[in-house]
Amino acid sequence: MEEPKGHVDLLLLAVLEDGEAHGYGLVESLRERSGGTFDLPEGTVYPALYRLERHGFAASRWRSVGGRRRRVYRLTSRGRSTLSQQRADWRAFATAVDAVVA
Amino acid sequence: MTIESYLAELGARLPRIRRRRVLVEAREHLVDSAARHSAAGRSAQEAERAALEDFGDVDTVARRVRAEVAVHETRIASTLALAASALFVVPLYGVPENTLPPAPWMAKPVDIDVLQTIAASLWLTSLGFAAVVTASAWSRWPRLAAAALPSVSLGLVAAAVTSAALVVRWFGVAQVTFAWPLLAAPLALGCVGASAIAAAWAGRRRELLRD
Repeated sequence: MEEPKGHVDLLLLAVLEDGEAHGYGLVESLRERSGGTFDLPEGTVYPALYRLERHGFAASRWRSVGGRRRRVYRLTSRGRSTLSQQRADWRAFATAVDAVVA
Repeated sequence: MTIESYLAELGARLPRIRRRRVLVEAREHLVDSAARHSAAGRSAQEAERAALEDFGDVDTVARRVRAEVAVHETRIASTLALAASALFVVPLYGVPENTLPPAPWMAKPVDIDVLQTIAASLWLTSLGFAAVVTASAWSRWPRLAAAALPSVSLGLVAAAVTSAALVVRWFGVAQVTFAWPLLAAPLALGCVGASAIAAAWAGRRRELLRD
């Protein structure tokens, strides 16, 4: 199975797990959940979302919200299982690093 | 810089394939972001500037979108090269089979037999290679596919040149018919041309691709 590239993709998959969201909503969630730590150039989130779509981890559609046309993204079942695997890998890695560094 | 001038500059640097979608998403994003900064007490001008700062400079955003689109373009180019390779069977086999008169010899001259074998082998190799390249482009190795596409073109060129030599040799020993070269040559050139265009297109995107 294709793996997501880098931590940004993993973070986006994790945020998408909460439900359908547009790009700005995802950036806001990312900022809030990380306590402002993940303050990446917001425009680079979109190429990352296109990449997730290309790999079949996310799907998107146009939706009209308050008279505005928004592209909203959601996690696919493939994305969900990849997230689950990546999350387990990350926890194992973080535990190992913590054991050495702490 | 205003949101509109930023979007105009970004649009000018984006590939046509995704331009419209990216600009709609970027506009909505920037409007939301500016509204958040306004709500935090900034003036409209300051809010717009802060939203643009958060979004990132035009070069960075455009480069990353172009890199993502380059994967699509390489996939399309590889598929085009594969189709061109497959269609090469028409000028190589389909046209001669249906336009040439029955062979005048009892035993086929050895050189004609050799030329036919070489042309068919070159075509089959090119077709097989095109299939592998296309599979690479649609899986995890688009950069590798972009690098390998010229080989597909070269294979078809070699098959076409060998076929042309075969035509010349054939007309040396058999009745001349003009239907064969007149039909086969444009079709063969079309296939070779399409594969060359595909290779050039993917080659120009190669630097943007990451494996």
